[in-house]
Amino acid sequence: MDHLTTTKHTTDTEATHTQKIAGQKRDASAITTVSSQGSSASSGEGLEIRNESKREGEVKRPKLGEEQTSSNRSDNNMALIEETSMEGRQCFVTVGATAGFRPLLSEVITPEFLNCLADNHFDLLKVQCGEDFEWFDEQVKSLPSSPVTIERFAFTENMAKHYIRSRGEMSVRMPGVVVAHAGSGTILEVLRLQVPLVVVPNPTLMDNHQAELAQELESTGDAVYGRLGKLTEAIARSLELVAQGPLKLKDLPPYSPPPFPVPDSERVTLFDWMTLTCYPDELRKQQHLQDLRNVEKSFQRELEQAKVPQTETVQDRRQRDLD
Amino acid sequence: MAPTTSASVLAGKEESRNDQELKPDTRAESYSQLHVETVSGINLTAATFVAGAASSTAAGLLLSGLSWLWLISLVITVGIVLGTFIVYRHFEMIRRRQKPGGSWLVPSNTPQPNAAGTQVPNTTSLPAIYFTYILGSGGHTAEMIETIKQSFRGQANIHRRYIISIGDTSSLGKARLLEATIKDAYPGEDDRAGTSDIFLIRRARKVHQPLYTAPFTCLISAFHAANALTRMPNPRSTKDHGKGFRYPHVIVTNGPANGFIVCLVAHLLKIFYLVPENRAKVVYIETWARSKTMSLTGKLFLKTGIADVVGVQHESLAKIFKGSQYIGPVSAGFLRR
Repeated sequence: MDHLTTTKHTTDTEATHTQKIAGQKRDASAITTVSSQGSSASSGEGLEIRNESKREGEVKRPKLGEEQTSSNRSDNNMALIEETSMEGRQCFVTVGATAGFRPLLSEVITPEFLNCLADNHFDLLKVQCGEDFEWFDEQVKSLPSSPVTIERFAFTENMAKHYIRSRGEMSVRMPGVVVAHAGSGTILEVLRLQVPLVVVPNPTLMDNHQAELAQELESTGDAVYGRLGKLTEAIARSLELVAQGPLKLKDLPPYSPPPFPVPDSERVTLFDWMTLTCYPDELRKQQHLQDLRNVEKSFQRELEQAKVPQTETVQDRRQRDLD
Repeated sequence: MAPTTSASVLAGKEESRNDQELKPDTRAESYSQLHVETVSGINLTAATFVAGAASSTAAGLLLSGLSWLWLISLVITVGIVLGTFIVYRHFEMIRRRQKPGGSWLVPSNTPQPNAAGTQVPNTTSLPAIYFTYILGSGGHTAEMIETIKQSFRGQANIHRRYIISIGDTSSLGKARLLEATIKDAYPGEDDRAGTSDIFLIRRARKVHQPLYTAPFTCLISAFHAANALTRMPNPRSTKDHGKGFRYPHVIVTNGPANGFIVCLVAHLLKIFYLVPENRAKVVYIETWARSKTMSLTGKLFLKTGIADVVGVQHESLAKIFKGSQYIGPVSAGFLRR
């Protein structure tokens, strides 16, 4: 176990401020718990380690060695995970790379929010804090205790692996949530991965088109608009959306990237048409073909519409014959 | 005499630079060897034009020994003539512009029951297709990459050029990753991956740069942009492809400051007949994040009319801003499925 944790630390290449010593100390203490209580450890710490090693073996989860953790899990959470043998819910908070977002960071470590997470069977709170890493680190250290594990790091290029950890996959893990700033890059990536999303616009940014986007997403049912100061509500609504929403974010099959190249039927053809405007003769030809296609399609549609009553009458006739 | 010598010197420089720097690219090259070019000179045509005009005017005025009044009136006359010419050409070009037709702007929402041969539009038979994509920063780049993926079709006659700001390593990495993905989709001798190159140009305005120096740096990046627009792609030499790849066919941008400068330069080059009118079609795509208001760049493109198409990704936005076209969520492909 000790060997495993140290390799985890050394193999990780992400340049984040880490506190390995503290992390190792914690691991060491966990190991002593395990060894003293044997393999069927009943304490939270021991179970956590076991659970982590299982994840490593089973689903090849990306290693998260550099993140420092401070944990005190509630026992019922652990029981739930043990029962279903699935990874628990993760709440991943991201503020992006370009600007800091302290109000969001300070809200996610309020006792109210942490308790809300614990009540909803979340077992991990992971925070990407950007430039405010050191400040956030101190804040977390000054917390008396936390019902969920809190991991934190400054920034990484590969955010997808952290988003995936919040993705609800069938018999692998329960759907968590990503609480994100309203950057379009982040939102697009999270939605593409089919991960439940809470968008929190930064009210201090100069023009508030972020709020506009968040409202739009809320109205289409793709994400939840999280307002600062009311994040617990947003978490509850997100869980509702996962349970009942049209997106079906629960029990998904394992993520597979979309096919590339995109199938012809789904392709965006705008740039092709624009290229054709440079070749007027060819454009005329292709547009003519397109018109023909449209005519053909409308004809087919009419045919189908005409067919529907026909087939019904045939069925009716059969019914009548049977009668 | 002066202009010709300066031009020849420039030409010599250009040629020697070409010899030492630019190695012929092979199509089967891996993405890591993808040719990245930083600009240090300007295009020959543009340079000759500007240098010739400026030096001959100045020399003529100085030699003739005219009075200041004459000089000023001459400058004003030239200014008026030039201004009228630009305005006339601008509106003439807009008038002659091929208006995008209805059905082909909106991407098909439902899969069509088409056989392999009936794909419309079919551009495989064209002699050359040359796209220029301008990558901005952060979200802009992510959206652009997604848009490129959504509209990509493997064809041997396509060349893609990515224009990236110097120092924007994240966008550079994303462009290379995309090219690697494309190469992976068509491995080995399959030439449907097409060719590509990357151009680095100077940022229009760095963060925290004082405002009074901005016009100068904008001018520098405009020269870089002119170079990026008029330098022929190395893998597509005149010997093999004629003038097919001389200038880009379609320029796509989605909002970074550099994008506007590149498109403005493209428009000016067309106005002065330096680039043929049926080239360098400008497509501006408003970011998907805007659903009710237009960004500043978007408004600029709408007002100036330098974009052939101002595409927006929300129907609600197209209704508010006249002149913009709804093109579907092209940078959020998952929303169309």
